[in-house]
Amino acid sequence: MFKEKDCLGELDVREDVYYGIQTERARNNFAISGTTCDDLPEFIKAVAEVKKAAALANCKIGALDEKICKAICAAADEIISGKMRGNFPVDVFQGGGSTSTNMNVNEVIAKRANEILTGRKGYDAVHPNTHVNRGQSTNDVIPTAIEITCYRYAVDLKKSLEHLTAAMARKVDEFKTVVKTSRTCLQDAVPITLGQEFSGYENFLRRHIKLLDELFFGKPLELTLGGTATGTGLSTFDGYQSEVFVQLREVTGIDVKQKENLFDGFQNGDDYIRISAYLKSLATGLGKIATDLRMMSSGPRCGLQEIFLPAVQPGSSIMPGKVNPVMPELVNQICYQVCGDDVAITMAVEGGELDLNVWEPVIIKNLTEQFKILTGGMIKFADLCIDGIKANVEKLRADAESTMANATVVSAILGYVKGTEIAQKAVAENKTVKQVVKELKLFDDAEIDKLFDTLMMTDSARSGKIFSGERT
Amino acid sequence: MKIKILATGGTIAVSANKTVKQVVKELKLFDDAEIDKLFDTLMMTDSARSGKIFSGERA
Repeated sequence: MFKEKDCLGELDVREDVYYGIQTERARNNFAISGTTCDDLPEFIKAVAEVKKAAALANCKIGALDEKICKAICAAADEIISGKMRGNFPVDVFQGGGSTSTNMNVNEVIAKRANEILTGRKGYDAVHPNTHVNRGQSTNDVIPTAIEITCYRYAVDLKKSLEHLTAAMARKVDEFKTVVKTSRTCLQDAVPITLGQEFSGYENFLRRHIKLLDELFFGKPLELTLGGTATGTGLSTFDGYQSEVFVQLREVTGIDVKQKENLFDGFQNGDDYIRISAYLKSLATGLGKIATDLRMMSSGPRCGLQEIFLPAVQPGSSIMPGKVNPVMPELVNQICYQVCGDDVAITMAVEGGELDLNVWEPVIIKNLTEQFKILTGGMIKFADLCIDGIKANVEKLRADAESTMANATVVSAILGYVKGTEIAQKAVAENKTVKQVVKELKLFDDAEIDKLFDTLMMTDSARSGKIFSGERT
Repeated sequence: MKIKILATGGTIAVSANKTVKQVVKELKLFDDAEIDKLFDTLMMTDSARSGKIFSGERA
């Protein structure tokens, strides 16, 4: 054990790790959830990148010795590459606005940099606050790291979204002539093609790719870095404010710039709200699609039986042969969790007071969960569900021909009163609308076949012409 | 060396119930004119000014 000292006194710290006394205190204080900063590797990587950029900037402006800078960069690189996993044991839930996370990274870099320079762990050559944290504060480092982390999560999310969209597009094409009954208020409505229904899903996904682009890409990522404690930039040396962004661009490969008003940046977390709101919007739409698929595939004998989902696992411990729609059910639960995370993020952002929002620990924890489960979930949804969906074509066609909503054809031509009369007669006599129209000889047979062509009904360009008189 | 003392300066100030500026003055970490410049609170709100002072333009 190492005996380390801070302003509260002495404490033993394990010798086989690189973190120090502040991390050790925080590890004990916040050990509640079992999920630690080691479980947010992308976030820790981003914090280390900020440390590296700050060291390079300080060195460039003459505020940090070159030898120390090189050692800090080497240590930061080891975190960035993932080599230091296991050294970030502080719980993701923590007080202090992520000071413990920032100090955890400062201590690991300092101790490792010291080892590189002197051959032993310690802080005599490189100090976590004096050198590694120079010109920075938790308050500008952590929001910066969150934004960078979310940007990278967004890159992965976009790939996943595109994958699911492509899978959906294949089904739109496959089902383009499969006619079925649409439903409104869960009641039979006019015919629609299964392809049209899936095109709604596909377009929803395409719109969300565009919305994601607008939220993250094609513009610099605006950050609070340089503001230090409250936006005034106190403790930075001359030239740091611009140089740190040059270095951060280089280190991360992301186009970054300082926020126009740092006080606004420190006080408000509406960036997080927008990201979370976007993710909620995506999640709820996916949840709706999942619910549709579960309803359409209900059965296999006693439900709607409109589509067949690929069977991916047995569904019951007691009912042999039962198979459940587990992949859509997974997506529904992703939706519920993302919405729950959004509530936590919304409250955390609203709860900011005066000159800083200190609720970033719970914000990054929830944003990470939202991105991760959506990104992973959409890939699984595409590969294990959407790709394998089959249409129950004959059942769908029979349903489309029997829907009472086909009386819409009669009302469009002969008026609503006549249409209602035909619909009621069809219900009373358990016949199709087409059968009743035929029996009453409202049109000649060739005309009736044209008017009650269910595929025609799904295309207003065709149906419009027919209703306008081109029936013969 | 100065940086090392300043790192514990906050603790000394709290336990002695003095301002950081008073403690720094008592410890003669900088000369009086320099201390007045360093502890000008309006200067502290502007990184363009404070950055220059921290970079050595204290005299």
